[in-house]
Amino acid sequence: MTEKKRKIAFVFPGQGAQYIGMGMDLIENSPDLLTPLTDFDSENNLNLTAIIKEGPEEALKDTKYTQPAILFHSIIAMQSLQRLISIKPDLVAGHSLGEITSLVANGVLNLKDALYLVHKRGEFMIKANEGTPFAMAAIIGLQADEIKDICQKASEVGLVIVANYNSPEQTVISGTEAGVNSACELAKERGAKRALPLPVGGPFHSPLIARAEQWLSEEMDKIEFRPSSIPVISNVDAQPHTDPEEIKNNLARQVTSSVLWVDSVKRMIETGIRAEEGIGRDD
Amino acid sequence: MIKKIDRNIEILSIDTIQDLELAKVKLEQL
Repeated sequence: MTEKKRKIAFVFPGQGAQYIGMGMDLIENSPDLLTPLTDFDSENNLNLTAIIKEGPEEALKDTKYTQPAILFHSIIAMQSLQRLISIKPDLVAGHSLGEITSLVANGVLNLKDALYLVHKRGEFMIKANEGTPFAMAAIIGLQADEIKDICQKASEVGLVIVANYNSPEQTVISGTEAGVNSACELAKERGAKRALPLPVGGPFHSPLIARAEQWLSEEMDKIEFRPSSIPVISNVDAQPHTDPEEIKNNLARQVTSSVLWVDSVKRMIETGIRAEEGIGRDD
Repeated sequence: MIKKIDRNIEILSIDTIQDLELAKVKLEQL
């Protein structure tokens, strides 16, 4: 009897995985991998290469730099692996901005367009909410359904929603400062182990940045999304997609929607994935 | 880094050259 072929998913991280010097040993090993990043800098009058190599930390934490930095690191890690071993994913996925990285991995986007897209995405996600007091927080040790209920109650004082269903143990909330603070208090009252404020530049994955969804859609309309036979599991519905229009629509919706990461991982397991390549830093 | 999260799924996390070598060995076994 022949053993069924093991399926492999390439899975990419989101914001929070960045650090100064990321990927530099990979570049030392294969210096040509740096070229797309230096080209990106020249074409857009940026200095991301220097920021990744030397910092400062504040610049790397700036969302419009963080997002292309993480995407670039993830892609050179994947390319380095593919130079060592002949390997293609059966499925791809990524957390938040990592979903765009995954579209480079399955060939829907080219690297140049993807770097530009996440740079703009980062810029839009901050700009869309300028002026409104906001917060995000990670709630540890409380069931997601209960946190959803807490968000509904806390929204009486200010909008707050579940931003990321990260694991059965950790759920991230996002919204107005008043709403998030109230939800954190309620979560602690109901037995959450911790409610940790997150140092982010905007209320990501919430309707407070609805303008970013619109702006990102306009940018995506200028870019070619190619068909691929390798499905991406979208954050917004935890379902596999290959149609470029569906993928594009899901990416736009994702900016203001919850990241269904727990369901996405379950979906990967249901499709027979047995090994995940977590490409980029294990955050 | 290699993490086995349950009997169904293993995560090979690739960040550095050492991770690449580990992943190569693991993937060749599949």
